Amino acid sequence: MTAQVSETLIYGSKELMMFTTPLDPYLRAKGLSFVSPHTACWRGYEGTWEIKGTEPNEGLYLVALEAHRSYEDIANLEDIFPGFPDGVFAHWFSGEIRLPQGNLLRYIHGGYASTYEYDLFLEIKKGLVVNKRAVHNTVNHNER
Amino acid sequence: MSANFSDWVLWLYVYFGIGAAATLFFLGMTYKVRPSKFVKDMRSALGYGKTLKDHLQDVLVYSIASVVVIIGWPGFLVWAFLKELREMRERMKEEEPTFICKPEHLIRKVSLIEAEQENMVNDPLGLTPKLPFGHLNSAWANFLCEFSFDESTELWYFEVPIGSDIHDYLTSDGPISGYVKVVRGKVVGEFVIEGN
Repeated sequence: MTAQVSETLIYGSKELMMFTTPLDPYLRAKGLSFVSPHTACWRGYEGTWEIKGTEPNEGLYLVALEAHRSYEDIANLEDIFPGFPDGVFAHWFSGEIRLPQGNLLRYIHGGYASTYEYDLFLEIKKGLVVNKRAVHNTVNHNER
Repeated sequence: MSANFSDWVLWLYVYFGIGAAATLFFLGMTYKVRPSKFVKDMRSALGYGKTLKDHLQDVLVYSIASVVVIIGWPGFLVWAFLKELREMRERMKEEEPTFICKPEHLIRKVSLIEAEQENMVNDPLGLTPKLPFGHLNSAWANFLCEFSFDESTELWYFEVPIGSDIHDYLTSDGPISGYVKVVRGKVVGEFVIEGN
């Protein structure tokens, strides 16, 4: 599988790549799916997310969406969540979201398998941020 | 009392007659799944076409097989019946819906009211609809409508632990939970409220 385009997460004043797709459980529960516009986006959509609220009450919100109903017909957040233009709280998501940081150490042409200098992980429980951790990655030079 | 010889011959004819019919049946089944003209042409183009020797070999093999079936047709009919039964079971199994929730993931039986009370969303900004299951409320309604709730139907809360196999090639990397409908101990419907 081709390397996939990331989601975007706005965290504080920064816009970060996000190698997790928290909208998927919602789409499965609702029986929704989109069409892939190209091989780097098999899921058919790109979402922009934001961590809103103040610690310890921070939540993950979907704030923008481009979802392909067909190659030309692109739905936005208002189309999928009518009446929620300011953001949709991702209460259906539990798990870790991965935010790669720094230089690309090793590119892998598939999914989100590439390695970056750091990974920031946010642990989410029913949409709420419950933990954060950072991992410093290294690459064995023989593997490069 | 002794059996008449001509009766035995008649019964033998009947036996071999049925055997001949069974042979025709098996040959017909083989003919139905023969390679298409396209496949034959492709094989020829790749140098794997049938030679005269292959054709003669086929004639010999089918002749021997026909004689064996004519003689031992009861056994072959039983074999064909069991094979069809097995394939039918496999087809039914493939058509059955698959669920993330396995019996070992069932936690507790709940009522509809309990499930809805437990799932009012805690949204820090208060943007989520004040309905059970928030944005998934309509999906919950669909889940309830999909099957009627009679005495044999139970609603269970389930949790899939992190690292569990949830599909042939997938393991959960976060908690998955939700509700399932259980009828006579079998999961018949699933509603996931948190996943990854």
